Amino acid sequence: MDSTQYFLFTIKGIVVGSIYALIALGFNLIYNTTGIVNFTQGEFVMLGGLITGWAYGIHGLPLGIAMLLGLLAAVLVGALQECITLRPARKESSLTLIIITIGASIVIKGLTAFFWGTDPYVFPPFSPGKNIQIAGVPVPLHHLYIMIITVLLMIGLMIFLKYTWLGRGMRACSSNRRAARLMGIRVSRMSPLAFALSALLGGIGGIMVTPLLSMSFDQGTLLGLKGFFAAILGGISNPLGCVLGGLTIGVLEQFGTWVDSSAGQIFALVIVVIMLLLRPQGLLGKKR
Amino acid sequence: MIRIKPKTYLQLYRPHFFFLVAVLLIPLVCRGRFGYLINLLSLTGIYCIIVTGLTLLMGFTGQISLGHAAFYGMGAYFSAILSTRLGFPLILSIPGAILLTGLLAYVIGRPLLKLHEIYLALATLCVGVGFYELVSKSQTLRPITGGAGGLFDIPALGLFGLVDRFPLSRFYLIWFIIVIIAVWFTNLLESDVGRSLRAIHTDERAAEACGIPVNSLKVRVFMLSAMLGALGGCLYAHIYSPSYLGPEEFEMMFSVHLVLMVVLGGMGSVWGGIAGAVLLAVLHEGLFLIGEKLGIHNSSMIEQAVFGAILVFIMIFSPRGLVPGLAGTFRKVFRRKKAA
Repeated sequence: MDSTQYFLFTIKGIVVGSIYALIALGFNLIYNTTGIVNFTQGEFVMLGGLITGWAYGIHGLPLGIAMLLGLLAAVLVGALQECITLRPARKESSLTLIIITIGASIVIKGLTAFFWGTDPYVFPPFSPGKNIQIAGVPVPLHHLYIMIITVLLMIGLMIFLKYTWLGRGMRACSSNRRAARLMGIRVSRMSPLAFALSALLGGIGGIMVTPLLSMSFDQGTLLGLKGFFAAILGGISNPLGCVLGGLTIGVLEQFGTWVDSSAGQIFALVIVVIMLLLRPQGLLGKKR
Repeated sequence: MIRIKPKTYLQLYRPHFFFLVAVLLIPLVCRGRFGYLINLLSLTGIYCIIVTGLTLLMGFTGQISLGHAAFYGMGAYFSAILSTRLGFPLILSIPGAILLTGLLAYVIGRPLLKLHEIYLALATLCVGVGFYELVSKSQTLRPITGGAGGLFDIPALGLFGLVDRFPLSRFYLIWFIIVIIAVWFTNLLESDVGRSLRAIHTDERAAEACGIPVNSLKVRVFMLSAMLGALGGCLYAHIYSPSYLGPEEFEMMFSVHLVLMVVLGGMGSVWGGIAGAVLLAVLHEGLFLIGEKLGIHNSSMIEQAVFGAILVFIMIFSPRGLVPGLAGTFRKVFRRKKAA
């Protein structure tokens, strides 16, 4: 495999990995606030992309408005999910909560398929057709946007969680809910906010990935799963870890396809299983 | 529910007896128009076997397997490959497949069951996704697994020609196995192992303090649930669908369906798994019929949404499962009537 191919695989891996990283950041946010692993994250991604494609393609809305609609849809569903499915079941075991999120994701998928059909939606990338040259290889500008936006969002999330009142409040909720409430943090507001923000992140990811791969109702699940594996690999409690995990999974996947063209994803899965067996909290995570 | 009252054999096995009678009678009832029910119930029976294992895992060790379809698939594929590509006779390939699956479960379970439940859930998720991807999409493994096209002409479990003479014997074989499993489980739960399991379920640390080898038991339960899944897979490959074995049956969504069956039937007892699988089949057929009446063609999507909603609902209001929850409320109502 010559250097150009190496480079192409790596770039593609980083681009795809950035999407996984974004999804993983969504997991991170909800986990840091509520201690729940939200398997519906993938559906937020799907909704962001699909609603945008629907609004743009079927209804001819300008791309900007369509994207706002997509994000709005994701955020609404996220907040709704928290209120309807998770608030009544707060005190249950983490496994019960996981099953609830899985059930919620199925409901979202089914309803989306029923109302929006099973065909994929797509819309054109930002700045279509323009490439820039990196090391002699033309890279579509859209790919670059994805990487930059992901890094910006990661930095933003880290700053948010560490330095802002709201972010620290969210982390306090996950540490010790009652103590947080005693400190004056509006705990009941934090959870829906975390879900809404996480859905926003997912929606952004969906909007960025749809021009590349188009978006149908069932693609969210696999994306969410990979983002989840990325979070596990890097440590679900650490945003930097999530991003690193995402990039790793992305790159591993690409190199995996070189080994076995269709089942390249197995490579990443195997790494995740090994990581679970050896160091379950992930590369940068804290021990539970 | 912890029952320490000792029972007589009659009390203990009375439900099993009625169950056996019901199993014997069902094919006599399903004649003519309802003939397809026999086939449906055969498949449901296979699911019952798998779900019983999963119920044991979820109900008594509090773990969850998010990829149990993989163990089901492993049983089917291992046995199919052993018997077609490697030419093993069924009497070897079926136990071989089951043991192989158990071995894999041991390798995964032993390190992970010491940790928080979520890690096992993740690993089984990976196994579930990984298995499906490997079997359906891998180009390197295609010659062995048949890829998305599947495998054909798997030796059918002939039972010395019995199956050809009495087609019903397939149904009976599956459900007799279920009866045997039910009896065995009840025995297990009433034995010292069963009491240890109930202790673990009540309070793991207290159980450990009493000298119960918690981790070892958890691993064994995990292996058992995986092997029951593999047994179901072998039955599927050799009895239910010997002409074709494809990866579609073992996709991720089926793992979720298995969890739904456990949740529907209740995690606390032997019959929970069986009830859950039957309930889901009823639900599935019911939704399909309703969909037809209402003129909705792609009811499978709404079906998924309904399944998801039911799952969420039950986990919020009755996390031990639907049947125990209902039974609990039933009992409360009765107690009030008695007091009055």
